Amino acid sequence: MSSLGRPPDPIAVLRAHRSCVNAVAFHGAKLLLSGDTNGELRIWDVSRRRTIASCQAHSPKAGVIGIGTSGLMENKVLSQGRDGTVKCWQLGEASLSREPLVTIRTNAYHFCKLSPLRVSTAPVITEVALEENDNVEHNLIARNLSGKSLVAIAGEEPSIAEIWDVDAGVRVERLHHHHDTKGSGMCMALELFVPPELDGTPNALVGYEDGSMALWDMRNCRSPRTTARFHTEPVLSLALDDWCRGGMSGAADEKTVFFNIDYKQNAFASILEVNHGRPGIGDVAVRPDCKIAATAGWDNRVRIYDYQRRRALAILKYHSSSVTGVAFSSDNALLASSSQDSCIALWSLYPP
Amino acid sequence: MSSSLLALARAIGDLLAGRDCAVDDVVAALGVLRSVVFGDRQESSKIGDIAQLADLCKQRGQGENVLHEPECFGIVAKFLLYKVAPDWIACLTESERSSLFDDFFLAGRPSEVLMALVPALGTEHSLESEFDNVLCIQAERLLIKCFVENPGVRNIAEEFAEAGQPSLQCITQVAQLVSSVPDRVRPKAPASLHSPSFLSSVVSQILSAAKEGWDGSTDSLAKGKFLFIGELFNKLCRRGHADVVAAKFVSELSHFVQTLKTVPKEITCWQGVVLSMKDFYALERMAEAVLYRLNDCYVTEQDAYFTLHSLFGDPLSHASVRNIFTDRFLLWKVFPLRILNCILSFSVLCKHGEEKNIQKDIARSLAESWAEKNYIQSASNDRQAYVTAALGISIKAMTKEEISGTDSLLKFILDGVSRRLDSPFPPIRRMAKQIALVYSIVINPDNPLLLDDEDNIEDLQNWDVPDYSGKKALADAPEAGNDGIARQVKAKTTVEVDDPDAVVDLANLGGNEESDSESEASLKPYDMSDDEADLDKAKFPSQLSSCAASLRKGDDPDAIERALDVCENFVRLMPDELENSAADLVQALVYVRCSAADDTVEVRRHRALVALLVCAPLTSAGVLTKELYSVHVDMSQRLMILDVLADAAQELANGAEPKEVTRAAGPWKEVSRPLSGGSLLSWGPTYERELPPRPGQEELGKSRRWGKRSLELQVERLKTGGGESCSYKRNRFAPVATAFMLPIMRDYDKKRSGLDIMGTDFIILARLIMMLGVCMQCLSLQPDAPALGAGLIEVLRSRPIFKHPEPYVRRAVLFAASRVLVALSPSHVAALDASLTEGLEWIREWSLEVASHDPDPDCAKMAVACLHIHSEVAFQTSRLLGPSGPPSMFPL
Repeated sequence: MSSLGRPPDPIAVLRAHRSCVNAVAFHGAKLLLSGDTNGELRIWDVSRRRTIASCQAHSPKAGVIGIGTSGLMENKVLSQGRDGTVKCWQLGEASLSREPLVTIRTNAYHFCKLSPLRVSTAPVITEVALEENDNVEHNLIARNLSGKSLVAIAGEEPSIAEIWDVDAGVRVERLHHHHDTKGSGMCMALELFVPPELDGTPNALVGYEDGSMALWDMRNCRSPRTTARFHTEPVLSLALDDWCRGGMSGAADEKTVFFNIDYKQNAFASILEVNHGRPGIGDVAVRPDCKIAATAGWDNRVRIYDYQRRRALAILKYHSSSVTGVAFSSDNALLASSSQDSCIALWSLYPP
Repeated sequence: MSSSLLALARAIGDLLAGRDCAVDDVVAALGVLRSVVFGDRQESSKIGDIAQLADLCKQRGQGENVLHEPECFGIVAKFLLYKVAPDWIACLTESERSSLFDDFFLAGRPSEVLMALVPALGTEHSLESEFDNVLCIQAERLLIKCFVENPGVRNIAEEFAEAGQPSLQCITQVAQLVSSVPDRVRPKAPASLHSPSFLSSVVSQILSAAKEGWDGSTDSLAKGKFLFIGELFNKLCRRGHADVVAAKFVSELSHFVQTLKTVPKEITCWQGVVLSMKDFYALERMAEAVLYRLNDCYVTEQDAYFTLHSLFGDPLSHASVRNIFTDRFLLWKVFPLRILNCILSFSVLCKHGEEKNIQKDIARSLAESWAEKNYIQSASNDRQAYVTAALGISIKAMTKEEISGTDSLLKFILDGVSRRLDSPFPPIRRMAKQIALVYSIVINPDNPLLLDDEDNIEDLQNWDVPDYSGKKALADAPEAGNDGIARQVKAKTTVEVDDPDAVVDLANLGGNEESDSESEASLKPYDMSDDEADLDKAKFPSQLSSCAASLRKGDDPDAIERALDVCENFVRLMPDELENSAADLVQALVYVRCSAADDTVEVRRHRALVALLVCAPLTSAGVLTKELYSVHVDMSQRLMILDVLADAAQELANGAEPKEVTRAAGPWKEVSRPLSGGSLLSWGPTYERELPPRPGQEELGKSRRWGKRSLELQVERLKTGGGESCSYKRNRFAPVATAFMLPIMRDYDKKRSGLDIMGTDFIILARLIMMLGVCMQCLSLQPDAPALGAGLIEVLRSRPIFKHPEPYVRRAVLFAASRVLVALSPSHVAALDASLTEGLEWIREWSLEVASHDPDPDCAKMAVACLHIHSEVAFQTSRLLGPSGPPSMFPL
């Protein structure tokens, strides 16, 4: 297949951060949130490329390690610091609320990024097609989840993933093996979602320090639905596609793994490993239209994959230091990458 | 006998002088004359008698003598020319004519013949009348006969030789007449009377007269012959015939010179001729013509030397020759290089063949003039280049010992070189480099001294005087220096838009070339090359503050390099924190240590500073104007600051506004409004936001245009390509002009240690004035222009500035003054206060003075241009004021 030539440069670089940018997340298509190691949380207007609000979300010592946005939370955003708190902020038209709406003391001091709940947009898998007009909203109402803003984080005991209710500020569940607490090591990456199942309750996909992954169902917090070990090094990042039928994982080894989840069989399936030659994938993201996916490499590269065909498409070279986060906008138009060089690059790739 | 005869002749002459006398009277008079002269033989008074008169004159030796007596000759000649010729010539046969006229005049004394004939050429008469025509034709014919076909001029010389001590007045008169012949003859006269041929025949007659009986002693020079010869050459050269004289000399000498083996010891007759010329100006003209003639004839250097020596003798022995060849021709005139070589080998080097004998004191005085400060400031470039060439060639011909053996020559050379290196004009600096190089080669041929990296030896040893006439005016100078920068800056004014690489062609993506069963379009990959080297890529600074920090890393040139690479782009993006870091960044850029090897560093620094001034004008200008007079910066930094300020002013005034990449509605903002009249509306908080323009809505300036017609006009103008006329730009310089100009105008003459703006650092002064001029230009037609213009004129009017000895400063003042004029609109001028009116009047007076008296030709040219602008402004103003306007408002 012919090549498109030299990989593109970023269409814009946002530079207001004064230290390593740890996390980046889109809120819808127009706003971008970013957090740095100084604890500063910035909100950018993507089209004007200007900061429209910034605040000291966490103390400069702690820094922001994760940002959570989700369609379910509407104008609330979460910031996670290494000071044992997760803060929930009200996002106004051009500002953040001065004080967080809720501050959750999780007492967790680690590097695992939080994951707010999201819902599969795929049609629900049913053995008998009882409800033809099944949709997400219906599911949520049925499961009484609409009012709840759930978020998964690695808990005070880092090997145990915890699910918190943001609105109430209370812990809902702890996901730990009843028999084997230390076996997999620390919890390194999380993804909380509602799978496309008829009676779907929130599930959590967790990556562990030993390179294994486990799929948990909130109804059974004692043992995972399934586990698998694709990586030889700690899993660093996980991403599921919009349908939650599959996803990608990056780790400290030299592999990026594509996988599907077979909910009926309770197993991971159709696994493809891509070896990219250099260790360390700090973050992965799949574009909402599931066409392309991006990985954030420790080697300063952002790698783009054809998500459907699981094939490399581009290596984006702009950052001069490790890339820490990647995120796609909800309209599929932009990719943002954050890096330790304190820049955020905006890319426009394979327009939808 | 003779006295009564004289009385009679006079009587006849008087009679003849009456124009309207009858034929009978003439015949009777002739009869009387004849009877007196030849005895009273009764003959019928027929016309043929007149012819016989001459015959009789010949036959009767006595009569002839009588007629040719000085007193008589004039009268008879007049009678023949003015009376006989016009009226009777048609009746005479060829032989009669020749016997009557030719014989008579040929037999006369040449000087008297000359005096009789030349006035008859009659330039004062109207040439239409038949009378004058005939008279002139006869006079011309006779002149040719006596002075071209026969050696009349030579005979005159011999005549004076025989006379012993003739009166000087007489000599002068005759010389005057001979030399004036070509000027007096009619245009239709035969060619042999016109200047080249007549004069060359005269000159060869004179030369042969000079050769004849030349005894090689200077005594004869005081005698009549050489007095006449000298006077004649003086007159010829003064009348502008030096070229003819010189050509004759050179061709006469060419044979003589070829026989010479060494310099002739005795005085040649040619030299005698030259020495007899007492008129310095004429001598100089002739010497000049001889040099040009030698140049045109392509004689060898040695022949040229011999020719000059044969003509002028030892250059040092004769005061005026010495003066001409060592002063006039070296310091005041400009000759082509070949001629300069002749002059030098004749007067300074005394070189012929292998022999040479350098005149050290002449070389020294040459160097002294060359090094003089006043000369460097006031002499024109081509004269300076000429003197430089003269000095360079002289030094080149000298040996190390000769140079050190010449008193203070070395000192003058060093003075001149260092003074010239300080000059702002590149041609003058080049002269310094040339002399330095040539001197270094004399001292040590193996180690030539090049003061600048880009120079090369061959180029600097080319002494040809370049053509400075087409030199650009000072107005272009700022562009000339930083041409590249200015153009690049202009191209950079718009914020860069999306990377074209990022745009992916949907059609290509959709075109599913592969036999792909999936319905979705496949995505084409980009180049996947990924080399290890990229990993180690140096880290570019990503923040304005880290840029400034990197720039201060004096020990890490790579960090500086990288910071300079990105600095301009960062600034142009106008991040929010720019205002905070601008001051710091400006300072860092001013003091950044550039490696001398890389020019692009300077360029990038320049561009970054311009960008800062454009994007954060007030802060940056504040820092820069302060740094300009700081003791910590050096000359080059000061110049750079001034350049940057001028460039930024232009960009602010002309450049496009940095526009936002995408226009989207701004966020809602809470705005505090003062409570207005207790209105209930203002109780609650008020919100506002910026809205993007609707599609199709256009923003054109501040004012709106109504009406269909003007819109159509706009469209038409766009179509015809006059696009710039209807793109409304805001002059962004006007609001910040005071920050650019006032601090500089306020502090320029403060005394500081290490900076002598009014004296040795005059370059700073000139550039500073030029920068202020550029600022004024950028303020054209703005409301602030009169106030700042008045301030600027105040600066220019201070005596040490406009009377500055350096032409560079005066040019800058003229430039700035003209920019003030340009910046004022007629309506400004019409409403002027007294001080500015006075200032404008001063500009006019001073420009007039410069235009007429300034030694620098460029200054004069600029002053004329300035006057032109002034009159244009005055004209526009008077039109605006109309006839009712107060006439004293703007003196026309």
